[in-house]
Amino acid sequence: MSAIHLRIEPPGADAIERECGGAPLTFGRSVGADVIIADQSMSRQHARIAAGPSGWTVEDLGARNGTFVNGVRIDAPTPIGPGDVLKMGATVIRIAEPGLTPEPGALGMGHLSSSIFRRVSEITGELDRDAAAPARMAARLKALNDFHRAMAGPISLDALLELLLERLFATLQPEEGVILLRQADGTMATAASRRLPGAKGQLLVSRRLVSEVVDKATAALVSDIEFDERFAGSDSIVGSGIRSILAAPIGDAAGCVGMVAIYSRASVRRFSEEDLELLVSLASAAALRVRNVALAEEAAERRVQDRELALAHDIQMAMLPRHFAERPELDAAAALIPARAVGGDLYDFFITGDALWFIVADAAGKGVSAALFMAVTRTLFRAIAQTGLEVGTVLARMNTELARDNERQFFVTALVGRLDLVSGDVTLASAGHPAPLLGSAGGGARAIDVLENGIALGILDDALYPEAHVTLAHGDVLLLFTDGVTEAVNGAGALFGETRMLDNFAASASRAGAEIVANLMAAVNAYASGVPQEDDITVLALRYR
Amino acid sequence: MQIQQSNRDGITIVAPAGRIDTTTSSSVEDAVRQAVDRGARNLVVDLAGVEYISSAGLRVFLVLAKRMRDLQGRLVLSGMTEPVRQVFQLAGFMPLFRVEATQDAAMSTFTRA
Repeated sequence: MSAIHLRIEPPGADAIERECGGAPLTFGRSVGADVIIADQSMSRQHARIAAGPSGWTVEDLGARNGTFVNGVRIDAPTPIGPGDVLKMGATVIRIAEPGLTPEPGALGMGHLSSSIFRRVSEITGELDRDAAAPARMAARLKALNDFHRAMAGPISLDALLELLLERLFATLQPEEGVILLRQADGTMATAASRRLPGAKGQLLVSRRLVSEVVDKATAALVSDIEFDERFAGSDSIVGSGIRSILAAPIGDAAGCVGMVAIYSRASVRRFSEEDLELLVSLASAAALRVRNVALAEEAAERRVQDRELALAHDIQMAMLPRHFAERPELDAAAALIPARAVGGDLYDFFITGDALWFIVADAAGKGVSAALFMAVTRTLFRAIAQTGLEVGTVLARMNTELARDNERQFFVTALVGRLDLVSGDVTLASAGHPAPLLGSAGGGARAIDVLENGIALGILDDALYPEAHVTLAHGDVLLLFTDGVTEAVNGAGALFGETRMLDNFAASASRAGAEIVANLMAAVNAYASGVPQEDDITVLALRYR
Repeated sequence: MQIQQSNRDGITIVAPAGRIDTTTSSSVEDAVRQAVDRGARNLVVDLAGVEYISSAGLRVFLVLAKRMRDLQGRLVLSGMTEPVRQVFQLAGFMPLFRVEATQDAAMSTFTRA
């Protein structure tokens, strides 16, 4: 079967001649089509022209706007031949009469067919020894020099890319230019583009060109993309009437961060090998700066996040009580060291009447989610404990609130207590939290083992929390903590542990509250000896005087 | 964190090994979630190789247990080492789980059912 000639007339762009030999050709506006046409009224895969048993046919591929043959919308493969006029969206495709040659001047087949692909390293290496062409050298060096000078000083990534395009337009006079940069997910995306006013069509970048330039670090001069075998079957640029392309990777020894390509209709300007060398030089000069600026912008973003976190840290720390000497019967001291900027640990206490209410809690996980849960826990504690309920009931109410709609199963372990400042009687209840230690005025310390543990808050909405009672003598100290203390690890991965904590506390139990806390924190620090803290650490000492 | 998965008599067994903490809990969470997504309704999580579990790790099992209840599936934990058992115990979570000493014992709870 003989080949047919197609004259493709995209809206607002120059017509393209194309021969259809044997293989079927699909037409559409997506890069998946064999002939990509920049026509928004076309579907991504619009129609297919193929050779059937009895001649050429056109078939609509389910295009939204349909495919027409001589004005009639088709719904099945329809024979076509010379003289027929196809319409796909706003694009007209005429089947030429046999033997009819493309009209002179049309950017058709075979007019231009030189393509050059060169290793970037070859071109940049030439810069130093290309003494044969001093005038050329001088022009390149001047352009480079201008570019370097313009890039000096602080510049944003966007401004840098604009500057590169501006220099390219000034020296190489393309009609359109585009810069692609590698994104965080590894794909290449357009970061900047520019076109001459009145340039027709729509700028498209062939995937083949990108992979050729970026993956292989080659510079490309393509004078007629339809005739370059590397682009056979995916000539993306048909609808734009573009024929002469220069492309260079934006990269350095550390790798390729992007690509710059400039286009011109060959009837307006054909790029030369000298142009290619200049493009490579400018792109290489830009590469280091692009990488540095991108890194600097990333760093600036991180600084903003760090500031936000530092602010969150301050807000969280401000929630913790700082005034410890409200009553002569009480000597309280505390420390809370989050493992990250913000944490899930909490201590709090307040006095109402003759009662001191206190809590130490540990929200599951670390970081921002734990910090938010911690803030909610503190608010609930303050609100519910002040209603005059019993200790176990306070925990039960807090639990019910936290368990409401808790799809993600966040939980918090908590130890809540009330100390009667007149009698020294303490009521305690625990929601999955380690039992506190009791240091006696006469020396020695023990864990309060009468405590029956309830379930951590937030998981079972009808959980109960049994209470335990102890009576403090004057001088006795209660020590509450989170498992960040006992689970601090040393260089060998061993835990600080309960015994070490109890021994340390017993040795300092007769001292002031602040000293007890400082002592224990120092011991944990010394034990960890530089091993990064994995969990928030909280200690609260309450002495009854 | 290594996570082994197998299937025996229609029962899916997930066996993580190492520490389940803030850093590693997401990979355990992904493994069990994917197993349930693929249709596992009889699930044994064998914790014999787990030497430590943090509160973030506990959450993974709470979420899993809740999901299995919602799907009317069955979840059995087996092989808890002493440190891991203590963490479950202290948080008060033991009553929320069916816990067996060994993987075989966990498997046999399904055949008895």
